[in-house]
Amino acid sequence: MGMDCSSDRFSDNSAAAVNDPKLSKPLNEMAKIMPFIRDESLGQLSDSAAAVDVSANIRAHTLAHLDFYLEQFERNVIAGGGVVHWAEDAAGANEIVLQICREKQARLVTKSKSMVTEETELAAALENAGIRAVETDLGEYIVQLRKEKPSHILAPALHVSLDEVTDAFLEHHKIERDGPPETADELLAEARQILRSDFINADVGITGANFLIAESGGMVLVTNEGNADLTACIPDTQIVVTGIEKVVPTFEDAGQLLRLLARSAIGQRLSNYTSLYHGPKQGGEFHVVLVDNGRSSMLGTDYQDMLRCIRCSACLNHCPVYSAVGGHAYGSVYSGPMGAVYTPAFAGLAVAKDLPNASTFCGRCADVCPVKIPIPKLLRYWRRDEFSRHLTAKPYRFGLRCWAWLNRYPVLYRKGLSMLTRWLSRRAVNGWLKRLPGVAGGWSDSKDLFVSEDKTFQQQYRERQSKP
Amino acid sequence: MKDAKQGSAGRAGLFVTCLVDTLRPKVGFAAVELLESAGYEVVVPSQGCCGQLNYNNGDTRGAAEMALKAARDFAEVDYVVVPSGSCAATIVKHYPEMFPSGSAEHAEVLSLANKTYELTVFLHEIAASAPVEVTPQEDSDSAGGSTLAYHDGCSGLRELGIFHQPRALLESLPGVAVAEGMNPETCCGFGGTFCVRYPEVSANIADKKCAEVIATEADCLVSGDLGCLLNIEGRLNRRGEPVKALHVAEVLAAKKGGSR
Amino acid sequence: MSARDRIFSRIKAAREHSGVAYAPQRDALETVGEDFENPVRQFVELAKENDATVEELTSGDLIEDAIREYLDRADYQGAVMFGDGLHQLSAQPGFAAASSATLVNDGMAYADTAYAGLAEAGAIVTLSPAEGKPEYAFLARIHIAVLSKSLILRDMETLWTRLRKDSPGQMPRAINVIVGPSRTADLGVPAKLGAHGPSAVHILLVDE
Repeated sequence: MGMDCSSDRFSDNSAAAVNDPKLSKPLNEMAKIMPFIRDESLGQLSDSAAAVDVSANIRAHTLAHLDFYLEQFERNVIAGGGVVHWAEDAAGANEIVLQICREKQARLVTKSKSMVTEETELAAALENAGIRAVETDLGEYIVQLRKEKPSHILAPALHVSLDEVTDAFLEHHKIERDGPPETADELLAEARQILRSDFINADVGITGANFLIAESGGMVLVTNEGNADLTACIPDTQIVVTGIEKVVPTFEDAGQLLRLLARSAIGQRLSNYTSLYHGPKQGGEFHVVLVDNGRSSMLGTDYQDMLRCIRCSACLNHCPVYSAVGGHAYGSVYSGPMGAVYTPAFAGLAVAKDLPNASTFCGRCADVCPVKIPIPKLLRYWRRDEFSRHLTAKPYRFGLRCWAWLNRYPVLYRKGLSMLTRWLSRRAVNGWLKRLPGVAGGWSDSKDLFVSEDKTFQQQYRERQSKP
Repeated sequence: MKDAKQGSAGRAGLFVTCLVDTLRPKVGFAAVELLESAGYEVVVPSQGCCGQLNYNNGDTRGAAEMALKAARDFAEVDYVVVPSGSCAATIVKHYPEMFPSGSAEHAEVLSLANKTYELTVFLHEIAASAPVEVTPQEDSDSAGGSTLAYHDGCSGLRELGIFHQPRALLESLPGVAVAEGMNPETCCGFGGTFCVRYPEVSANIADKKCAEVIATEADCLVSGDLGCLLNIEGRLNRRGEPVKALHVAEVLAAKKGGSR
Repeated sequence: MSARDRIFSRIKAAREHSGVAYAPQRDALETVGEDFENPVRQFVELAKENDATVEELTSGDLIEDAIREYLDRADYQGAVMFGDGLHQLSAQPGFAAASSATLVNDGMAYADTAYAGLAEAGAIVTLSPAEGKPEYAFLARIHIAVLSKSLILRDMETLWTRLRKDSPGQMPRAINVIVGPSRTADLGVPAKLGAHGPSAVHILLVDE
C-alpha cells in the first residue's frame, strides 16, 4: 500500500503515552488554548457558519469534478512555463523527485513542510541517493535531528521539550558558542544561523502546497516562519509535491478556504506568510508532482468526503483521544481524527483498524471541521468494513453477534439481563464492583462500577404491574 | 393504535435502555413517574436494546434487526421517551439511515424516529402540562437545595441539541442551581466499547472530567446519560474521591430510593 | 497507459459510480468575510496587532528620512538593500550597500514598495516577477515596506480582481502576503519572532 505505518501498535502505544508526563503538559495546553483561539477568531467573521458551508461546498464541488480542475491546473502550469508530473504511489513520487534532482546534480535540497513527502518518505529516499535534504520548518527540523516522525501536522515537535531541543542542537550543530543555548531565543538564533546557509546554498527547493489554483496554475504556501518561501524562492529549481486533491477552482475559492484555514488551525486571520507562486524563476524550473497514493481510490466511496480536508488540524486540537495520547501513538503520518480516517485508506484497514476504533464518537471533530467532514460517520464506516471483513477482534465480534441474537428473543433477553443483574449485585460490596469479568475487565482496571439493585427494571415493573 | 386513556395527554412508551434496565432501574421508575405527573399514560412494552452498540461497532445488520424490533415493540404508542441522549439519538438520527429510503422497513423505523424523544426534551418541549411537579423532600436522595454539576452526554448534545432543556428543568426546582465550570464540549471518555478497549486512554480522559467535577464543588453530579454517569462516578470512586451521582430523571422526580 | 491516464480514469469511474452529474459550471461563489468600517484603520490596527510597526507619512518625499530614522532608532548599522520600487535610494549616502555576503551573514535590512495592503488581515502584499528576488524580504533581519494608503485593499476578493487586471494572462512569479515579522511556536508559546524571516517589519504608510 501507499504508506507504511505502525498503527497496529496503537493499543500499547496509547497506554504508554497517557502515562508519559512529558507529553501531558504540551497536550493539555494545546487542548486548552486552541479551542479558545479558534472560537475567538471565527467570531470575527460576519457569519462563520455560512463561511463553513461555502468552504465545504467548494471542496465537495471540486472533488466531484477533480479531473476537470486537474486538467485546467495542468494546462495553466504548462502555459506558465512549468512542468507537471503524475505519481500514482509513493515510489513513483520519490522517483520523479530524484530524477529531477539528478538532472540538476543536486547535492543539497531544502524542504518545507509537505505531509505527502512524509507519506512517501522522500527525505530518506534523497539521503539514500546521497542528497542531503534539510527540513526547514523548525519543528520538522527538530524531529529530523532526533530521527523521529512528526507528532502533529502543524506542530511536528509538540512532544519535544526545550531541553531536548538543546540536546539535539548540541549534538548536531558543530559551531562555536559561549555556552549551551538554553532559552527559546537562543535556540531560535542558533537554528536561524545554521539553516541560513542551507537556504542559500540549496540546489533544489522542495515544497508542498496548501492549495493548487486551477484557473492560473498557481500554488499557495502558508507558513508562519517563512521557511517555505525561502525554499521556494532561492534555488533555481522548485519542486512542489502535493496530493491531487489539493486543487481548487479559483483565487476566490482559495481565499475563502484561507480565511478558515488559519483560524481553524491557530486562531489567526491569516498565517504570517500566505504566498502564491506561479511558474519558474527566470532561468529556473518549476515542477509540480501530483501524487495519488490512494486518494483517487477514495473517490466514489463512502470515504470521499475525507478528501475535502485542508490540513488545518482543528480536529486534532479538539479531540479527547489525541489530547490524551499525542500523535506518535497513532503510528502514522496522519494522527488524530483525520488520521484515523486516512490511515486505513492509505495503509490498509488490517494494520490501521485500531485507529477508527479508538474514538468515543463525541463528534467534536465534525463540529470544528471547516469543510464539514462527517468524521465520526466515516470512522463508523471503517468499523462496518472491519466487521464485514471479519477483522474485528474475535471476543468483540462474538459479543456483538450474541447481543443481536439475544435481542430477538424477548423472554431470553429479559431473563438473561435479570440473571446478569442479580449476579453483579451479589458480587458488589455496598453497591460497588471492583472487578468485572471478560472483555469488560478493562473497565475495572481504573474504575469501579455501581450496581444499585438486584433486579432489572423490566423485571420489577412487571412484578409491580401484576400485583393486585 | 389503541386509544389513550381518557383524560390523558397521550400514550407515552418508556424506552428504558439496556443500561438503565440492568444497572439503574430507579431511573426508569423516576421517568415513569415524571411522565405520569405530566399527564401521560405510561406504557412499558417488552423491549430490548436500541442497537447502538452494534451500529457503532460495525454490525450494521444486527443493528438493523434491533431497530426494526424496537419499532414494532413501540408501534402502539403516541410517544417514545428515552432517558438517554445517546439511545434517543440512535433511534432518531440513525435508525432511518439503516434502511433504504422508500422501503417498508424504513417507513417503520422512521415512524418510530418521528415520535421518539429524549426525556428532558420531552418534558421541556412536548409535555403539554405545567412543568414537573415537585414535592420538596428533605431526604438525602433528593437534590433539593443543591448545586449540581451537570454533564452533557456528547451524542445528546451534538446529535439532538440537548443542552438548555435539562438545565431549564433542573433550575425550575426550588433551591437547585447548575454549577458553572463544567465544560459541555469535552467528552467524559465513556464512548461505549471504547472504555473497555482502550481503558488507559478512557481513564485519562475521565480524569480530566473528574477534575472539572471536583472543581465545581457541587453537591451532586448529574447527567442525562447513564453510561457517562457510571463512567465518571466509577472513576471518582476508584480515585477515592466519591461524589454523589444521580441521573437527571432521579433529580427531577426527587424521590427516595426507587420505590413507590 | 501512463500514471496520469490511470489516475484520470479512476477519477472518472468514481464519479460515474457515485451517479453524480458532471457539472463543473457553478453558480457564482458567494464568499463570506469580515465586516469592518474603515479599511485603512483596520489595516493599521491589525498590522500592529501582529507586531509590525506602522508609521504614517504625509508625503513620499519623507520616505528616505523615515527609513534612516527608523534604522537609527533600531540601532541598526548594517547594510540596506533596496528593491526595485525604491532603487533610487540605493545611490543615496548613508545607506551601506548590501552584498551577497550580507545575505548569508544575516546582516541586512531590506526596503521596497509594496504592491498593496490587505485590510482584512493587516498584511502587505508584495509582487515579484520571474526575474525578481522575493527572497530578500524573507532573508532580511528588518523589512521596511512603503505603502500608499490608496493601495490598501479591503479584502482578498478585491486583491484577486486587482491582480487579474494588472497581470492579465500570467500571474507574477511570486505574490507574497505578509503579516508582520516571521514567527514560530515550535519552541513554545507565545511565538518567537525572527524565525528564519525578519524579526521586524516596519510599514511606512504614505498619504498619496
